Amino acid sequence: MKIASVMILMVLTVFLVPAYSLQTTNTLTVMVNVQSSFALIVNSDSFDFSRLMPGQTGEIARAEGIVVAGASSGGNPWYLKVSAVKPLSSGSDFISNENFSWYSSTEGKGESFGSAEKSFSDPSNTAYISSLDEANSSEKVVNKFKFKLFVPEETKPGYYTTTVMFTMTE
Amino acid sequence: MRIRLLFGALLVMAAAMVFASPSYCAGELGVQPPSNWESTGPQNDLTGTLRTISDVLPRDWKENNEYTDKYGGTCSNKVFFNADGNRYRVDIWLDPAGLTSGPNFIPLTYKGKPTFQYILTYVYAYYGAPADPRNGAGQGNNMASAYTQFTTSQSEIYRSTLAEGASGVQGQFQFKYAIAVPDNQAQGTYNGIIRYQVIRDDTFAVINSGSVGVKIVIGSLFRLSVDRGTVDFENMKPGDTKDNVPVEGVIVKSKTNVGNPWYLKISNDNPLSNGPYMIPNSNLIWYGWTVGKGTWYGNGTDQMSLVPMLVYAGGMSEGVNLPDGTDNHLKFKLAIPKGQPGGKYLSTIKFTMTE
Repeated sequence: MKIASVMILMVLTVFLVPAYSLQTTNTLTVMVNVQSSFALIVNSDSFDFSRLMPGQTGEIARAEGIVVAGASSGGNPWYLKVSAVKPLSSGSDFISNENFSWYSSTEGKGESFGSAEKSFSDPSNTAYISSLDEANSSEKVVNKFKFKLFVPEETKPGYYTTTVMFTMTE
Repeated sequence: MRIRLLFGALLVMAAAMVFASPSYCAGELGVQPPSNWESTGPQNDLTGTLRTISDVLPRDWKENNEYTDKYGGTCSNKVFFNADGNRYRVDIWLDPAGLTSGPNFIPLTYKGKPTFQYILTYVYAYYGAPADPRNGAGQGNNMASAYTQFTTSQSEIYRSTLAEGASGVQGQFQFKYAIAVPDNQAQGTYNGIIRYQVIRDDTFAVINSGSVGVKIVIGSLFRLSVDRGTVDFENMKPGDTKDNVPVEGVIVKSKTNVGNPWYLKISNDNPLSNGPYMIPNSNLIWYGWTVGKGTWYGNGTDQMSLVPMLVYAGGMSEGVNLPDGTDNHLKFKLAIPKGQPGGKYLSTIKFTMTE
């Protein structure tokens, strides 16, 4: 009985050994350099307060304001700043930046600083700081800006212009 | 019985006097072996013995510099005989059955060159007394002093002098054989029989004859090569798609002499990755074509996979596809997802050839 048991075990051992099959491998490295995207898009190149009288305050007429969309896949947080390159001017006449202000709302997940109105004379001109997710995404982050202008009483008549600059930076 | 023992003892003493080392081998019927004679292994009638040239691989056949590097292996045998009073000759040949392994065989010539060859390396004549100054290398005509192609007909490799063939003279000859394996040779154990005979050159009476079995083990060759180490999509922006990379295709070459069906599979160890960021395998497509006779399994839009995917199955005739092998060509297409963080992404694609 003991011997019989041993023989059965040996037979099972033979059948349990897997069949040997040949196999060989070789490799190939695939590489790509994904370039970071860093883009800022403004949906309009101008806006107009239309006609204002001295002592009058005007606001941008567009209900949605100026739509500024930023996107970055650079991996670093980014900042959106707004500034006026010079005061509104008409020839040698100008309207001080203290009378020209902005405020904004955001659709992003970062931190917005534009909920309260700020004049362009305020050196703190950061409107938005992206979230970490938004630092690694080419999905656009939308901020909507509105502008308000007070025309001082002593302002001379004229066609006053300036350039509002949106700056996106890491 | 007593006399034979005494005779053997005397011979041992005589040998010790002539040679510094007692290399005398009683198995050779009292003949003094030459100093360069192998003292082990079969000595006389070699019928039934088997010599092996083991585990040699098909080689790339070089038209020039022939035989300098393509001997798959060598073996040697030696034969003893008693001359019978006349000049003798030694013949050697391969049994007409050839070198076979099942249905496969090793041709005796390949691309116009001999494969299985022999060389007569030593002939020794012993004139009956250890002190006879004529003892030593045979003075006859060695017709196989260089490697010579085996044929299946008797080929003379040595013809003795009259003195060497005199009655009472004992002779030995040693031959070696070698194989230059064709570069398309199927794996297997090939067997053959080398036959030889020593005959009088006047009456053609056989003085000695025999054979030696030869076994040549051709190893398995199962090899996969890729014609480059990298495929570079270079610079791409999020949202970009690049196709037809590389333009000329990657050539994956499979070679085997095993004789079984085989398969080529593709996978990668990880998706294209850059630190914590990845481009999903669904964005990396492989496709291509084959010049083989088997079946191509790509559908043109296959996504890369961590699990090996079948690319190609070798055809029935590709179980042995040497020397050229079977080429499969692959190209890749990559789409960078929108919002993909910048950086250098790498992935290792693995080709697997398996039975």
